[in-house]
Amino acid sequence: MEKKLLTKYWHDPNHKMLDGYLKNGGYTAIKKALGMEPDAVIEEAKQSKLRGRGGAGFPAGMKWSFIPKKTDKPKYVVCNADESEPGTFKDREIIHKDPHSLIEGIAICAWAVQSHTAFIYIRGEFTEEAKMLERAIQEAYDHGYLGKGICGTAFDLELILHRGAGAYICGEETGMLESLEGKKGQPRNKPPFPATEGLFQCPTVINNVETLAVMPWIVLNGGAEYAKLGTPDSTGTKLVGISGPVKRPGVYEIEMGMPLMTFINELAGGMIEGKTLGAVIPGGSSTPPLTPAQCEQAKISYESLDKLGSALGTAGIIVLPDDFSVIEAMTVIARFYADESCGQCTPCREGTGWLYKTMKRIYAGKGAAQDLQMLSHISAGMKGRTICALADAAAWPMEGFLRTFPEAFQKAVTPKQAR
Amino acid sequence: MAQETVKITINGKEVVAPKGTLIIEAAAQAGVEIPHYCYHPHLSRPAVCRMCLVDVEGQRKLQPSCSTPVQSGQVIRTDSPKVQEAVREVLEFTLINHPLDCPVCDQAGECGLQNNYQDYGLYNTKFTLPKVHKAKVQKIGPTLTLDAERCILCSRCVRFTDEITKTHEMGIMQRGDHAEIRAVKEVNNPYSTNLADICPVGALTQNDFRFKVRVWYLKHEQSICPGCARGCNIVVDHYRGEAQRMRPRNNNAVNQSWMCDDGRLLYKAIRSEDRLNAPMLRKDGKRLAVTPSVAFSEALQLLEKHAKHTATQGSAFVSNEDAFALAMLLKMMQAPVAASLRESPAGWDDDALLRKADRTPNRTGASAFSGTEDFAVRLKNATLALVIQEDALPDRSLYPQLAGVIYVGTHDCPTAKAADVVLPMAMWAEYEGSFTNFQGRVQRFRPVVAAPEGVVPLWQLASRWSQAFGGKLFASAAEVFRAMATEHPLFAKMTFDGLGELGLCAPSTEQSKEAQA
Repeated sequence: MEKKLLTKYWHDPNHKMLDGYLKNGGYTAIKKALGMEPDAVIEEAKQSKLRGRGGAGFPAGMKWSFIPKKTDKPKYVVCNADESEPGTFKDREIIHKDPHSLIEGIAICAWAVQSHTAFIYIRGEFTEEAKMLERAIQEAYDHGYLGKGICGTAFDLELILHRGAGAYICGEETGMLESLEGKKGQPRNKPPFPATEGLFQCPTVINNVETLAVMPWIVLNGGAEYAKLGTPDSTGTKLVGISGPVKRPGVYEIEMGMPLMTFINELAGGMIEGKTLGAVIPGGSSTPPLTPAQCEQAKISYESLDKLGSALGTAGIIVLPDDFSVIEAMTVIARFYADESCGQCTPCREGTGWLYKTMKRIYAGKGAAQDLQMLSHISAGMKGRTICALADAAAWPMEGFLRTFPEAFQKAVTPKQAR
Repeated sequence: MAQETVKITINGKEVVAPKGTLIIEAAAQAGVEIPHYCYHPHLSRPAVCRMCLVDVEGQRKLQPSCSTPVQSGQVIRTDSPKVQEAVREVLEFTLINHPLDCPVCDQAGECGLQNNYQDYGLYNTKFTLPKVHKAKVQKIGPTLTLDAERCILCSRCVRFTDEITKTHEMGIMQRGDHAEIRAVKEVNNPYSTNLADICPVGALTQNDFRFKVRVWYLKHEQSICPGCARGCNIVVDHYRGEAQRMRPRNNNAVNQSWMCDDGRLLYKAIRSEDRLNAPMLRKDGKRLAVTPSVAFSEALQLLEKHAKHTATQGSAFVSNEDAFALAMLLKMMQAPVAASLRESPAGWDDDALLRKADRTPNRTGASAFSGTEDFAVRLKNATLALVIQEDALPDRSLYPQLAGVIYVGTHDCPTAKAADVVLPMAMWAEYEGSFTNFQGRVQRFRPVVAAPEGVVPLWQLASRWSQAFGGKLFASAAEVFRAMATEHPLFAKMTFDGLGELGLCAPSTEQSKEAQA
């Protein structure tokens, strides 16, 4: 069922410590990489066809290859550990159980793009995780895997852990760069893209925790080997988190392409007693929900979920029982985006608040039939008109909920006596 | 080197624009106006208001025209249904939390929200929920009042204080629809009032102008600020014969889109209490108001009598035409030396933005027709003093040989009080003429309000006096300018009308040398 590349040693409680990690073959990949040409490492990453695991799914090797080879500026690697998409908790597990594979992955990436300074931007609420990473980083420094001349070579690499202050928008890569530079976390206009003008206007690679943590495996086993797993468009394995009324919620590593229902019923143990599947939000709160019928067709892959009008996103599956309150769930989601909009772009700043206030009114039983048209109108007005994707991320679930649960909305805006 | 250009198509019309031009600018040059709030030509471009979205063929999403440079072959539409819908909807978002208090808002009539609503909106509000409330009527400094509720968060004020004055007073606090503009410290920099100009809505208003007059009653005239040697291009707004407000006018070679706070208040001097409104003669230690013709003849008699023994104090506050006509008069009088100029009154030093330590508007121009000998030295051998505008002779008793003092100026001062003949002259806002700024740029100002009855500019007085000595009587400022242009290289090949809205630099001046290099 599970396909363990990244999670192979997670059962070992010592794996999170350097000793245990080394015993399990840790830091051999970076040594191998340092013996290769940087371009050869990028080539392996490209061949793996690994798509970035932060939610957007951009091919990671391709991203690395965009970093200019000849430049007078320093280059930076930034690991995005601002995991804050509701329903997503896979990066947290990596930090808990396997922090050194992340550090090793960062080192591989830094070698590939020839960067000597890397950052981990970790979300503010991850206080324990920050301590864990801090300890792991110190271990790596103490044993020569970071710092001056790593692994006995002439290659220097500094790794700095930076804690965010608790803003969802700082998970957007350019918002994160702004925050890392000490400014208010507000996404930047693109172009220029971070590969050419990123952190402090220097070429910057930004990768998700999971993307980097799987790199040691790819370097050791070859990109081609990784690409054999999964489906042609979604290669490799994926950490999938599942929450909701299932028997065994948690994070599982599976080969891409697994049927969604197999995942829910077999790995997660199916619904808890007395609950029936009502809907599934497949990839974090920004992705539109799937009906039970759609779930039957769905596979855990980028292309399958795209085809169903949703998205793989961060693969944070939220299972909803059939007796869940559509209106309450949507109100909670709308509140989240209204709270987290950075407030720069007009459609997002005003639209997210408008959606939330409208949902709140409907939830309070004071909605009217025209509110439903308003919700569609607002969502349509927000999409594709802003600097970053937060407006879209707020509009998609709204449209998805309206599309998937029209009766629930209709009922909510019908006066009680008329029902 | 010729600038590289690219060909693009805007709304089906082929447009040639310099490479690197932003779509919004290329469109404006082609006469296509794209609505916008956050874009300002002299500030960075955050592309946050999202009003200027345009359709670029081949791009899935609409692109912000304020931050997208033109590219060869681009096909751009600003009039497609997709764009029009986007503009309408973004405007709707902009308006939902705005208080819509236009009837009591001083920006009404020159408000970006109102204007765009007229052009694109015209819908009834669909927003039936409680609005977000923010802090109102905040006195954020001596010159400005902030109403955060009216703010549409375009961030122009933040960028102005970050990028232009570098004083960093403004900031946006909170996020989402609670994002709120605030002054993080007192806004008290010499350029603060520009914030009221660049604010597209009624969030930042100028204390000096607030509630004085509804803007739709205002008439406008282009002029030049007389406050220092910079010569900021301005517009003077006036109502019922009174100047009400001065605003900067764009001139990239001089002041971009800015002017300083002190300059902005200079209109007040036009109607100040110490303004000289009528000619006066001094008899038995008392000043008597007389008709202009009496004062004129009285002065002429003195000039005729002491022609060759006249010491003249010129002024860098008067126009090129004034200075030239004065020089012509002295020439005809065969006065031994030309008028001399005084040093600028002290006040401020040159700053990095606009202000020049020289507080006179026309030193470059006036110097062209003035001598270098000190007025005080000249006075020792003179029997008549002709003082223009400056308070150069407050104590006559130092020069007992002086038989007469003529004062021509705009405001009362000790010199005027001690003068035998006082002739008021018109101020910069009351006649037409030109100033030459420190760069050598000759810029035209125009009459905004009427001068007090019988009060004329200096060039008219000088020219009429000079007629008595056989000189030429000029009929208009343009005529003075024509004569002047043949006399001095600073004005070579220029005509009065040819100065246009932005002025001209003679080929010999530094600025045009720089431009050529």
